[in-house]
Amino acid sequence: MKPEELQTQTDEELVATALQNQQALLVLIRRYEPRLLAYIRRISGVSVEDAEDILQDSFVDAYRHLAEFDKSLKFSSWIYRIVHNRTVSAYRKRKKALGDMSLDDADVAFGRLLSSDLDTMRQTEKSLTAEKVRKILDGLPERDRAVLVLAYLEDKSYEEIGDILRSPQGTVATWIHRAKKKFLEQTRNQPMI
Amino acid sequence: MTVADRIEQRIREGSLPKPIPSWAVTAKHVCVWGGLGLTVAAGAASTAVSWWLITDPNGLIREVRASDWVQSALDLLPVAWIALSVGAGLFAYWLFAHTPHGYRYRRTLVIGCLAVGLLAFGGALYATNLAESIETAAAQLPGYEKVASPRHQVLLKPESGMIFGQVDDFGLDVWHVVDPEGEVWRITVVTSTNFPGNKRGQNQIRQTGCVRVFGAIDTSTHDVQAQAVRPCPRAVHLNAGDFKPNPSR
Repeated sequence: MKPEELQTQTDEELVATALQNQQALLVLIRRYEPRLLAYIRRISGVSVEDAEDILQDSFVDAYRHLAEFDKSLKFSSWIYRIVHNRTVSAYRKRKKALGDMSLDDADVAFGRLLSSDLDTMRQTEKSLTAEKVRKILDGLPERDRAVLVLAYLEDKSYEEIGDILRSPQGTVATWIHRAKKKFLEQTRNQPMI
Repeated sequence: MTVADRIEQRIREGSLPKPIPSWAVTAKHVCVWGGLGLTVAAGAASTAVSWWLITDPNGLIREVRASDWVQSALDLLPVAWIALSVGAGLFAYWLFAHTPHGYRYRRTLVIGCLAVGLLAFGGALYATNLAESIETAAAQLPGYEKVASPRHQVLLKPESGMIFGQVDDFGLDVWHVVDPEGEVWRITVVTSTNFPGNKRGQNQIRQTGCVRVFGAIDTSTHDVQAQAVRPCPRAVHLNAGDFKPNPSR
């Protein structure tokens, strides 16, 4: 199969092809690399180099377990799950703080998060700075940070978040609700910049 | 160098690990689902045996041991079988959570469904009289005596006026009963001795020869003035052929 033909295939078709043709794997990697790198950095705050190492290991892992891919899932949910698990275990090992990441996009997206709730709008200042968002995220527990990032930065549905974190949708909804509450409490506690 | 470039380089070098073959994935799924089926079956079987033991009319004899019947009921609970049911239920939950879509269901829902399923399936086995066969088959397994032993200790309490064992000799007024430890007890049966009110219980005593005797017990002379005689409860396996009095006594 020609490389240009691979480009037109869906993710799920590429998975099936990748078992015989490793070029299909490269097409998948190129499709997902930027957003997965961003995701890794958003939930862990690791450096670009570390994020690339985690991502490389994740793709190698995904390739090894390609036959386990569940066709009823979206490929994006499956790869996010692998990347998430890799990142969390790496993050736990290194225990790095959210250091050098840029949160310009986070600022906008978390503004969306905050304004999604009418009460929240009344309670929260709209002009949250990137620095403040970064600090608040840094103070949140690992799971709360992950669900907020998936829901509001990665724009994943509850079903997809459930598939990524291997949890029921109802539980995901509860986690997001609690994480938003904690996020809002933190916004009140943080001094305005 | 991007991640894609790095992987491409590894592909060229041939250092990318090979994918796990499909048959191994299929085998894993078969093991998980098969294991789940077997675990649920084992759980249902042990639930059925638990039902069968708890509903034993010869287990708790309230008219004879009215004073401490709550304690007696607790003592006679088939703890090992109940523990096996609960353990099977929890293991089944763990296996279900490892099926491809198991995580999509809430823990309480899965555990609730498994509990209802085990009770229903176990109840069906009990209702079709399979519980006794299951227990009899389990009794052939090595190590089963360790399960039966605590039950024997509950039933054999001469100091509390209660023994059980195999009748060695059905005399007119005096029976000789050998307990599981090989002690021979001389049972005096009088007209006031309470026997099972139904024919079934009386036949059971004659056929199996396994009896529980309640009464005034002299532990030094091994004399028992029988106030009540009942058949042994379910799941007491005293093989008359193998049952010999202890020669040292």
